[in-house]
Amino acid sequence: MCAGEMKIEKIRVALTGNPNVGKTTLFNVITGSRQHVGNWPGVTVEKKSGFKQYKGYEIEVVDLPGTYSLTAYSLDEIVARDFIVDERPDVVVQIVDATNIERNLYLTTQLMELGSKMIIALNMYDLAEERGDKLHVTKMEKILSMPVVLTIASKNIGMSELLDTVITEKQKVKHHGREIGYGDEIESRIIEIEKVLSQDKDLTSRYPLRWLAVRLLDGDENILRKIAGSSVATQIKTILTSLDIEEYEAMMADKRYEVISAVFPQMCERCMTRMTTSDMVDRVMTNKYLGIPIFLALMWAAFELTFSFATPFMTIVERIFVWLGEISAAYIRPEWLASLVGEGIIGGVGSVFSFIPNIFILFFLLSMLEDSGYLARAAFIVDRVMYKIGLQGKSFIPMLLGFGCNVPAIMATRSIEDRMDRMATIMVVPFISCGARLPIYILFAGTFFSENAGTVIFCIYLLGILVAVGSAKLLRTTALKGHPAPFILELPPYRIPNLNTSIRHMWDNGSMYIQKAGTIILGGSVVIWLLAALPWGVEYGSEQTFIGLLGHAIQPLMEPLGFDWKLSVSLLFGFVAKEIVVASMGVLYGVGDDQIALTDSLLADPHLSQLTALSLMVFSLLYMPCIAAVGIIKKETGSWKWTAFSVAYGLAVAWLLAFAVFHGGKMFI
Amino acid sequence: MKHDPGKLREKVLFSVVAGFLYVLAGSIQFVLSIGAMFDINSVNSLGNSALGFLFIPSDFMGSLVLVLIGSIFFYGLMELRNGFNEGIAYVYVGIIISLIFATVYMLVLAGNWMESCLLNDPEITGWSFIDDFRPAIYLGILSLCGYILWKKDFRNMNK
Amino acid sequence: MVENTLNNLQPGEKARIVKVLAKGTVRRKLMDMGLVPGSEIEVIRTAPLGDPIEFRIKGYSLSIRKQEAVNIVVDTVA
Ligand SMILES: Nc1nc2c(ncn2[C@@H]2O[C@H](COP(=O)(O)OP(=O)(O)OP(=O)(O)O)[C@@H](O)[C@H]2O)c(=O)[nH]1
Ligand SMILES: [Mg+2]
Repeated sequence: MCAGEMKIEKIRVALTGNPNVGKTTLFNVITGSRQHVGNWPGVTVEKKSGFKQYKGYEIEVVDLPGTYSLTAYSLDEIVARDFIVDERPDVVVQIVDATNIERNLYLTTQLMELGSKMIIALNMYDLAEERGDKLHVTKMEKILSMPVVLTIASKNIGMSELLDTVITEKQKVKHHGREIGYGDEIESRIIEIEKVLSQDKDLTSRYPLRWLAVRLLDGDENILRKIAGSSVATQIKTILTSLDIEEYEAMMADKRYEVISAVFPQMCERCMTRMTTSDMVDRVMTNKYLGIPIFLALMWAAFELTFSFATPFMTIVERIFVWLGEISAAYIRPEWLASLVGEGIIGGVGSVFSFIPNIFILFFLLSMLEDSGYLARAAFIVDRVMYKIGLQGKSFIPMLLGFGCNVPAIMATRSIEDRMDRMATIMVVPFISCGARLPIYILFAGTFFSENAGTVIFCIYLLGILVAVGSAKLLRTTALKGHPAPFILELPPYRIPNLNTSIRHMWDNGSMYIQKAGTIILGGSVVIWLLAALPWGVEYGSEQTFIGLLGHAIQPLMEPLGFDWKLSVSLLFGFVAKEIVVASMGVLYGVGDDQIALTDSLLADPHLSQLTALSLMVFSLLYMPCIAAVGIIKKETGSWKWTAFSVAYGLAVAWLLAFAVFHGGKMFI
Repeated sequence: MKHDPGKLREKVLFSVVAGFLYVLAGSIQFVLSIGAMFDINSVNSLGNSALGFLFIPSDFMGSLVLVLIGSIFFYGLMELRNGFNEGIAYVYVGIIISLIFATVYMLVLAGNWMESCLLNDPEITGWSFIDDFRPAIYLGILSLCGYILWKKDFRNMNK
Repeated sequence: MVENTLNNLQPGEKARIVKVLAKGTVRRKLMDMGLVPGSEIEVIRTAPLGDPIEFRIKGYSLSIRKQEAVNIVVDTVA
């Protein structure tokens, strides 16, 4: 055996900890990944793996959602708990927020009992030091009897120390860890249960006995389920039912915090609470009178940037595509190919591409919002309103994220504990206008409401919010009837947003939009072009083509909304992705060799008016967001029934409101 | 928590001036935007001629923002007058929000300027610098001064 | 010792938690988050629309609604 043949040793490390302590930031710097980071609790809702080759080891790092305790309340917490408990990673790294050690240690006391190899990464110690705290790391290591490493994940400090510690910890044979005592009464119960459990050898080989006993007394239903198949299940049940478990839970939580507050002052000096700049700022931001106006003003700033600032960039991109269209018309032969390139590809993809500036800005701003810590405040401010409509403040976070893209927004509902709340939130998120719908508004509002385009678009966004709110109320009084669940939310401190994070977030999401334009939209445009060009011999884009026939087939349905066959067919294709509505307008109104912009051809069409434009925008806002969103709704609700309901309900609302706008508007004009 | 009384007085003075200017500019802009909305000729001509040198656009939402910023300064003034140190937080947030909006409108201005330079198209070059120059921008200079002057105080507001 | 419930405290007031009367998972979650008997809790503010309330406990900010705060018995003599 020579050294070169040495097998690479694998180490599996789980990153766990309370929400918003920097787990994902740490994961990203170690593995070089780009997972979503934000300054609010509940950003990560799924487990993610990454790899790092380090000193001859292959280290698999698993980033988990945050959790306050091993008792899981929401779906994301369940993911975190299950991984730690069932998959038994080689080393568990708990990331602890150095500015909030006391509460973070609560989870530590629970993790210790699992008997895994454990390390504490004392993260954000830059903030603790800035505050003037004095941390005693060696003392902490001694008290907890596990290694403690200081880290600043956001500045990539302390990572190699952490990895070194992971490797030494892995080498150690003994699982160490200190347990806390729960006092005479509980301890005697623990012993009683341990005795019974020890009869089941299979169970004891998998989990530490004491841990099982503690979890059972702690009323952990997950553990109850795990032992359900065991030979001792009935015996355990009898013991547990004879006890007042709720009292035990309370006593144990109490005991843990008691132990922590006894040792905490030895780990940290001057770590008491103090007014910080963040608290002072918060006084203003959540001021009784100014809080809501400030919230609206910030939204307006975001809106101004996404539209007004982006306009010149849009014009430039548009110009480039018009120019490309001219070139293709002039130089490409045969003619049908020129038409495919000019009308199909450049017309379709180009019209979607011109909205890239808006999309980039939108995602940049959303990321700033998330990273500043204001997002959780927004939830705090609007909770009252959300309560009135049967939801809670936490539902507002997915709704705000939905302005970027509905798909991650629907996933973000996982941190809502209550099932009914969560379902209702999933059902209403699609009404929040995502970035992909924006091109439609800019095109139509820009064309038909030139001066007032901004106001019109703002109203469309508002309408989306109102429909979401109304639908939530409706659902919560009918199909999802019930009391609103309690609202329990940690408010993180404000931080100055990290420019790098925002730029990266913008880039990642923006390039996804570009990718989409280069694949789905491109494919869609070609299909539409083919349908508009075939059968051979008839005039391109006329009513005799396949697309014309298709349009005429569905037009009766859309006629009452004021849509002609071209609009109807565009909306039909918009099921795939909303940008296709714009792309197909580009294809059908041929911007290629005409050398006139899409807006001019739209204006020239006698079928189109301000009213049809408005009706179209309303319809596009409300009907099914896209295939991807429907897919995620199915995945997250786990029910075809709800998915079908979401699509059907969206279509119905879209149709009715567009109808109302079109005919109501007629009365005024 | 004690503060250098001289520095506190500076901030009181700043709040008075900034609050007044923002509310004033906001109110004028509000009137002008109402004028434009309902096509009131006398108001429109007022904006074009007499107040032309203030570069105030007839933008309704923008006017509300200016008034809001002014109100934040005034609110802080109230707290400072009542002897609450927290009033400084209002000055700080007022400055931050006014800087955010100054940046927003500067970016819009820069974008349009770039477009008019780049495209050199007579249809678009109708744009001129003063179209996008507005109170939110030049009043932002005042806020910027405040920010630079008191950066340290703001960071250690609690001490 | 003056017993009161958390919802009745004014911003700026401090108190010590005596009991959490809530039931089931809510109680459990609150206790997990540090609202255990003996902890010191301070009211920071109420939201602009009057509800929920923001508290400082164990060194961090937590917000809950008044209707949950009713179930938290505190002792206001600090
Ligand atoms: N100052 C400072 N900020 C940090 C540090 N580590 C992370 N952050 C910031 O803390 C915030 C939360 O980071 P995340 O990595 O999203 O936290 P998380 O633990 O994954 O959060 P959840 O997924 O919600 O559980 C972000 O705004 C980070 O930029 C640090 O060491 N110092
Ligand atoms: Mg995370």
